[in-house]
Amino acid sequence: MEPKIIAKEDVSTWLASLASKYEIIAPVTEDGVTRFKVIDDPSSINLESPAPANTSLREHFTPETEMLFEYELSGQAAEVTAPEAEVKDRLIFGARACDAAALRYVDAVYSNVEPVDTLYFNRREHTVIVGLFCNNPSWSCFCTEVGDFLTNPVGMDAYFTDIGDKLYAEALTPKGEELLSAPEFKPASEADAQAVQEVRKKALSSLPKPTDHAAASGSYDWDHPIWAKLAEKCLGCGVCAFLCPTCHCFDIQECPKGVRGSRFRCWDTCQFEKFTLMGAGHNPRPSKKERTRQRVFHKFKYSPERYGILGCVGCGRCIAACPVNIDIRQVVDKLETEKP
Amino acid sequence: MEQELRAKARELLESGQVKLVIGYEAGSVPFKCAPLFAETPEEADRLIWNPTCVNNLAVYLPEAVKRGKVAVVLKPCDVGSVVELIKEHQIKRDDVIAIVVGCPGVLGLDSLSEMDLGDIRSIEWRGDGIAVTTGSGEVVIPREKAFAGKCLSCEIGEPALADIKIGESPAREPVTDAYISLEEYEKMSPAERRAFWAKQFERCIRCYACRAVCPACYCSECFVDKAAQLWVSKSTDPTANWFFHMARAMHLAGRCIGCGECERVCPVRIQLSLLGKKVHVDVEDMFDYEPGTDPEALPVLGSFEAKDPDPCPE
Amino acid sequence: MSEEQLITEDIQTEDRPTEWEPRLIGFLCNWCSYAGADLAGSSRLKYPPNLRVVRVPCSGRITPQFVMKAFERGFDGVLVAGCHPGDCHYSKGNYYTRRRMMLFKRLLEFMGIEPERFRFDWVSAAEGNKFAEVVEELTEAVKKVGPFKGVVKG
Repeated sequence: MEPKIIAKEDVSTWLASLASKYEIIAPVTEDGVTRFKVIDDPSSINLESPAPANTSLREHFTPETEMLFEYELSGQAAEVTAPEAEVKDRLIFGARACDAAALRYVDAVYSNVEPVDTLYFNRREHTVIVGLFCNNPSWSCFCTEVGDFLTNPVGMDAYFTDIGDKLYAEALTPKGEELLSAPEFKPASEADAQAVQEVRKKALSSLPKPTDHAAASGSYDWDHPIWAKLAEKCLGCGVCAFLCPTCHCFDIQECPKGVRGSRFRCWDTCQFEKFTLMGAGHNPRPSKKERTRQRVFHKFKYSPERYGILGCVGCGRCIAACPVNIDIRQVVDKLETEKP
Repeated sequence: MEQELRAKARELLESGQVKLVIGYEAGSVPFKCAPLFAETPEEADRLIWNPTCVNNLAVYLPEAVKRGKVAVVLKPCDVGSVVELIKEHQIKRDDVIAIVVGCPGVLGLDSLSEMDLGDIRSIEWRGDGIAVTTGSGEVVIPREKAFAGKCLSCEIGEPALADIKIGESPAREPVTDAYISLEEYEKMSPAERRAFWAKQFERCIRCYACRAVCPACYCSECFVDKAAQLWVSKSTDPTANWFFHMARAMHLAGRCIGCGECERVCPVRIQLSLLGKKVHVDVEDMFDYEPGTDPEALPVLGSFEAKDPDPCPE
Repeated sequence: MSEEQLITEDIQTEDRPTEWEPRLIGFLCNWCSYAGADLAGSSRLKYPPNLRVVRVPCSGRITPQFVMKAFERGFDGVLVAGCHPGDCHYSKGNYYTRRRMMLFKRLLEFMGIEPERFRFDWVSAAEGNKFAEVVEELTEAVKKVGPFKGVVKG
């Protein structure tokens, strides 16, 4: 399908026309925090919101808290009811290239072994993603260092680029084509395509060059002195993992209320001390040294080894949010250049 | 002040008086700092002291003093944390050499919101506020915008303890409305207040960053992590979130010294300082008690007086 | 009256309400307030039946988390009662309670929970009358503010 354009002022109408078919999820800024939320009013979308949003798309595929089943005990028997598999069709509008690329990675993790995570994939199947190019990458963005999805997006159905008073729209999948057939979309002109090139060039000029971290990680040093240094300042707060679009670990907890109750899963992180604490008391990652190393090795070494995809999409949220300025770019750079 | 700080730190390390100096060093970008753990005089030369030095380094002390005597760089507001740690026997007074630096104020969450962060080269104190050097020139930001809310309402005079003082904090007029106006909040009806907190706690993702960064939260097993007595669900249901924050506020009552780190690190910007401020004001009002001032004092909820406020005053 | 009418009249007394009744919980210390409640009972004093009692050894055992749990689980009102200052069976438990609960009461109100819902008071073992009064007052006060809709909802 040829590229199209849609006037910014028509975006609300277009989304409103889809509201009967899709639940619309888009970036909304409140109290200085930008998150992807289900919106009722398309005009509340913040298209100018900084890239990336404060939190990732993770909550829409694996919610922070997700009930697995409810139970009621009667004597020795238990009645177990699983929640309905019914998921509404959703359209995520304004997703960033990094967040969409991250989904591809999480797909690999959740389908790696049986049983496959059907709760997650059910949501994936019912979701259409419309991405938005990052005209103004943040100081912490480094997606171009770890992949080229900013300009060659993956994991989305259509890719929009802001060229002033209109959005340039490219369909990437049949679902995307279907969306761009709406009457609000007009064919794009040569001038529009030119404007896109300018916008892209400007954005890329502030972003780093690609580095093959996957290849370099083969020789990362398990005993590098940096781990002890990181362990000193890391607070183990886990914010890096909770904001990370590729992080996917969860804990399973129960909510008992007498003979009734529910079991749910909630986000967890390897940065918490108790994450690898065993029932007998042994903890293979007893200190922050092991835990900070785990984070970096998982993203940059184990992920390419296991799935062939780097576990980091360069969104930079961990860098911006870390209270003690642990900058993963610096860590990886030291691992690759400072060989003791 | 930076040169003096480095010299003192070098001296402390060279003489073997301390095993470690905890301070600030340049971050990975010019508008952030990072905690520095200097073990040698050479490492001490990396110490900095500028408006980016927002962290409360007292959080590292209970662990750090296991390595030996430690010197720590403290803003006057951070000193209160050290007092509380001593009061609660988490560290001994002799374990620590408190280097208190004179502080005009440090950056707030929105101080640089109008700047192109990628263009910043350096930040320093200038006049009443700060001067930010960028690739395209210099930008002067006045006090009201430059500093964190807690700095604008700072009334700390002499720090409660200090072994070494570097520089003096300038005398300044507290801009009392700047931090959080409890008066405004208290105009809300109960239903409005519940709605306010519902909105705040809807955002909470239970990352526990507020707990991790807090020097007063040093429990080896937090009440949240107990599964045998399930106090609070790990789910992010707003009611569960309410329980976590309420209980934490009570656990910090009379111990929180208002460093504001919890609010700084919260990835979804929950107004945690409101809770801390409320219990602080109440503790002061009801028990005439000021946390972070007297290391010999008893913890406020671990002691009592005959004249304490009573539900049925005679 | 027919037998049927007599039975119906019997059931529809003021002790069998057809509208919402507050669900209250009380944390009472074993030595004073629980004994006081017991005395109210053995004295056949009439007071609303809305209060469920949890007995603790000392009011000092009561952490704010108990009260929070009660509200979290949907109780409409909570009572915490202990020995009068100076009379604690364990000498000073109630002094700690006093600081804790007076502070907590303010925080609860700050968070938007109506002050009428939380009552902290002293009831001695001899104060059967007072106990009945306290429960009566709490029930009336909670009736006025209505059903509790949740700590962050409603």
